[in-house]
Parts: sequence; structure tokens; C-alpha cells
Amino acid sequence: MLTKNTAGVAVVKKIALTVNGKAYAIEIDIRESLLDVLRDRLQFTGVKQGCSVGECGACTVLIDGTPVNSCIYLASWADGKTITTIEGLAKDGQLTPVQEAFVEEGAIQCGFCTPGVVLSTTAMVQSGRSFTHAEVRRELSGHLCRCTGYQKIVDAAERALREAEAK
Amino acid sequence: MPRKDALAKVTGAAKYAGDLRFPGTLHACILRPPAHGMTLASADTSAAERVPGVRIVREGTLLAVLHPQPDGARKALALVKGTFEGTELDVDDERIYQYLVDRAAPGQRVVISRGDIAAGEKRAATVVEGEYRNAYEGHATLEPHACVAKWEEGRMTVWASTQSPFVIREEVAEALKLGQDKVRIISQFVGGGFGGKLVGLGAIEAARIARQVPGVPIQLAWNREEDFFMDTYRPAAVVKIRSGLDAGRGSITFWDNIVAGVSQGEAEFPYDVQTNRFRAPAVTALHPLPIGAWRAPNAHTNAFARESQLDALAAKAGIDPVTLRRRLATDARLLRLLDLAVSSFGWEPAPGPTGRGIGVACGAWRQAMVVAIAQVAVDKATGKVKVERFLEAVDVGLVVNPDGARQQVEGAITMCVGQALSEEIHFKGGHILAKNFDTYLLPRFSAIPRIEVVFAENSGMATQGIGEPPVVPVAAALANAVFDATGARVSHVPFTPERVLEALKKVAAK
Repeated sequence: MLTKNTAGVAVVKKIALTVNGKAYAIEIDIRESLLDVLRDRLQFTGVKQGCSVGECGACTVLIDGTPVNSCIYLASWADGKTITTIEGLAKDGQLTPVQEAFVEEGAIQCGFCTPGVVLSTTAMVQSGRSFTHAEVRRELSGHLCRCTGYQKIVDAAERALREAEAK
Repeated sequence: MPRKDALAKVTGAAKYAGDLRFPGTLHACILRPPAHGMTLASADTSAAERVPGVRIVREGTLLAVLHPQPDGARKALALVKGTFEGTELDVDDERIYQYLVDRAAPGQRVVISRGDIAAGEKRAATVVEGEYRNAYEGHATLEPHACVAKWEEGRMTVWASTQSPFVIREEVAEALKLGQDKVRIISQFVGGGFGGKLVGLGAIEAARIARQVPGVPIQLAWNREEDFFMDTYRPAAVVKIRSGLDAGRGSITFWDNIVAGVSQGEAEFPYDVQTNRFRAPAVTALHPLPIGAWRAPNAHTNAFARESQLDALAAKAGIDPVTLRRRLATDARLLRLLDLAVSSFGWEPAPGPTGRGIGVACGAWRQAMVVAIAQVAVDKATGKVKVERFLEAVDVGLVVNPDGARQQVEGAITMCVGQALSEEIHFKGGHILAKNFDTYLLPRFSAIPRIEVVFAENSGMATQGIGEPPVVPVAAALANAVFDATGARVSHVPFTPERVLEALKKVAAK
């Protein structure tokens, strides 16, 4: 890694963050996105790179529970934060109810948008709020999907929300 | 029945080509020309070469910067100064249609010729002349093209995001002048294809680079801008139709159809057209930009023209558009499918425009048939089209996995809502102006209503592919719905708010 930029300014910073329950202390380039750090340094390749400009939602992760496009979030901002990627949801091979709903409702085709949409849905479920149909579509509208036609994704999200409310 | 690979995909375990992490991998970034038609003449790589860990590979007009980290390769590429040569293309996204018509004209061949067109025109009580256009459209898969290539002991292995490993093996072998037995393609999970991953431009690039650095895995993951620039677009096209109905029940007395930009895909459709001429270009090598297969290639262009034209004829003759299609249908399957669509939707016959905003269109792809009914609301102040309801009746023979089939139809309709309303590869000369999803607009969750899918009971026919047929009539059904809502005929795909406003102005001027 370059430690200085072309103007000779130091660009390296040490950050501490928790990813999927595990603590990391790493040196990063202050210009690096959280997406690059997660994918290329920490090998969480379930975080997908679709557009790199915050338009498609494929790189969504939860930062302290809030869905964020990690491609337009600087890694240095993640210092002290708790990150959840798609790899952090299932525990000991047991899917979360949101993941199960996506499988059962057929909300998955090519799978490239899936990690991001599952995480945004997870955040909705964790909020404990209830959502109307229109609100579900709006909450998920930061995600692009080219395969499914969205309908099954909405069905899966509504199923997960319904099940969480019933508990 | 859930997908077998759903578990891997929902947990992040599924590895796509860009997710592979072989030890010793170098990530490649390629120096791109600013425009199609330009190639690399020379490059100053001195600044990039000073970056620790960087290697430069140059092979002909291909220049790649390699680095152990993707970000390192990207930053080093930004330090390379290239000069490019070539002739700027003298065409853009507005002049493309005349360009195609002019270039197609000398080589037009008659694909269908039945009856006497001039005599048919004399018998016509209603004549409509229409010109239908569609822009270049991208595949815009959520996963940009990606692969890893490795050259070892005289053999090339490519781990690729591909729809067609055998096609790519041929392409890589040819590009590297290797026997096909020396090339191995290993397919990975594919993050969407739609015809865009039938060819292996990225695999060829990665293989050419890997050949220069034996034993080193070379990962090449195009960024979004490259993915738009390097795409093999759905071809832009112009279809002109002049056709007429008689004064009686609405028989077609003549149908004269000429296409530029695509081939005659789906030229024949089971309508009773005794007097028919269909001219299409002898070659499709007319295009200034790279083109390729796009989910039911050619068929959606020709169906859009035919079904729009039929709708215009029905309206001019004062006939309900479903009734006209029923009279013309020569195939019992098509008739049954029309009935299924109409009864499922609750179509009430009336000649358009009714103001209800409901449109119908039929389509075929190989042995499969589809009838689409769309309902839209048009904001006359802004020209914005909102899809309120969309139904497709589909006959693909025996449906093996209804859940999977339904998902394909829903996805196809959604993709073509984008095709119809917003997706266009804007370009100027060889410069591709579509760079990302802020300048190339895919439909989002909020743009799509609940989609209804009904399958014809036809277990006697062998199962047909489901991925492509439902695409075919979507844009036409939406255009016909816009006409029914407003009386304005939108004939240029995509019918963006600007184009809808233009069409509305023409109605107001009448």
C-alpha cells in the first residue's frame, strides 16, 4: 500500500471495527471505500460490487444496524463501528427467518442483488416497525434487481415482516 | 420448488468470478479508448511503473496495469497517459435511425412476398403508415463481466462469468491461436446474462494478459462504466410499415414491412395476412456500435412494430383491438391464449382510445406464444407513464416448474418496462454516454405494479424455454396502453417522458 499520496500527505490510518461479531484492527488507506476493505482486504466477497456509485445497492451492509451502500462509505468512517455482511447472518448453518423467506418465496435468481436486499430487509425486521406494502417497496427501492421483477422479493420481505410481527 | 443454489446465494457463499481469490492473483485494469473507433497509439506508463507492486502488460493495442490489489491497479491506471488514434464515428443517438435506413437500403432482401401489394392497397378502406424505432439498449446485468485467467504449461484456464463456456473457449482459442484442447473455461455463478454474456470479450482480454505473465492468475473485473462501454447492445432499429384494412370485418388487404437494424426475427406470425411483403437487411453488420443477442433477439423489435401498427389500424377503423386480433388469428393456440388473457384481465371490448389506458399485444418466440395486457396512467403534464397493472398469458407447452416459470415471466416483464420507458444507450460519435445507473435508468421497485401471470394448459406440447418469450410483446402492450389513455401513438422505444410529450403535442395539433 502507498502510505503517502502524490503530494506527500500521509494516507494511512489504523481503524478498529467489528465485522460479523469479530474484531479487526487494520491499516487502511483513507481513500478506500468500506466495500474495498470488506471485499479485498477482509475477503467478505458476499458484499457485491455492482456500480461503485451508490445506485444499485448490491454492496449494502449494515453499519450499527443501518443499511448503507458500502461503496460510497469511506472505510475510515467505519472506525469503532459494528458491521454485518451477508456472511454474518446465518449462525451454525441455521438461516435467519429473512433468509428463509427469500429461499421459500423464490426471491432469488442470479443472486447478485440478494445479499444487499436480504440485509435491507433484515434491518426492516429488526426495526420492530410495521410497514405497508408501499413502504416495503420504498424501503427496498435503493436496490436494483435485473432478474426477478421485484415481486418475489417484496413477497419475501412481507413474509419475514409478518412472521416477525407474529412472534 | 426452491432453487438448488438458493442457499449458497442467500448466505453469500456463492462465488462469482469476481469473488475468486487465488493466491498470487494480480488484478488487471485496462486502458480504454475514450470512444469506439479509437485504439491505443502510445502510452506513457512511467508514473504508474513507479508504484510498488505494479506491472504493465502491453500486447498490441491492449494495455493493462496489474497489481495485487484491485484498488492498487485502479489507482495506477489513472497514472497512465495514453494517446489514441482512429476516426471518430460521425453518428449519434439521434441520427442513428437515418444512418441505419441508408446503410440497410442497398442490401434489402425480400423475406416474405405474398400477393400484390398495389392491388391490396386499392382494396383498403383504412390505411395506416407507421415508423417504429428502438434505441440501443444495454444488458445491464447487476454483475459486470468478470473472470480470472491463468496461463500454465501451454494451457489457458479461464474462470468466467459466462452463459456459454463453449463459445468462449472457441473465442479465446482463436484470439490466442491455440488449439481448443489447450483452453479450458470454468463457469462460475453468473450474475445475470440476458445474451450479454454469450460472448467473451473480457475472457479474451484476460487471456491475452495472462499469456504475458505465465503462472499468475489474472483477475479482470470490468467496472460499471466499462461494462456499458464494452457491451454488445440490443441493436437500434427502424421498422416502417404501410398496411390497410378492408371496409368489412377488418381483413388485412396488404401489409408492407421494411426493417433496418435487425433481421426478420418473428416476421411470420399467425395472423391472416394474404398480401404481405417483408423486407429486411441482408446483413446486420450495419451498426456503428457493437451489437449482440438481447433476450429474444429481433423479435421484440418486429413485434413492437407489428402490434403497434395493428392497434393503429384498429383504432382508425373503429374496431376493438382484441376483436381485430381474434379475427386475424389463424392459430387455435393464439385464440385460446387471447381468451385466457382477456378473461383473466377482465377486458371490456371498445375501440380505442377509450381513456382507460389499457393496451394489448401478442408475441411469439419460436414455439412459445404470449399475450400481454397493460394498464397505464399517463401524466399529460410531464409525459411520465406509470404502469398500473400488467398481465401476461403465456403458452410454453408443459410448464415443469410453475414457480420458476412465473419468476422468469415477472422478471422479463420488469426488464421490458425498462426497455419501453427508460433504457437507452445514449452516444455521440463513439462516446458512450451511458456510464452508470444514474445515466442509464433501470426500473426500480416503485416502478413495477403487481404482475399477473397465467399459463395456458398445454401439456401436450413439449416444454419451451421461458426466459425469452415473455419479453416479446411488453413494449407494444405498453405503447398501446399509452394510446388508449391519451390518443397519442408512441412509436419510439424507449418512450421517455420527452417522447411521450412530443406524441401528445401531435395529438393536440390535430
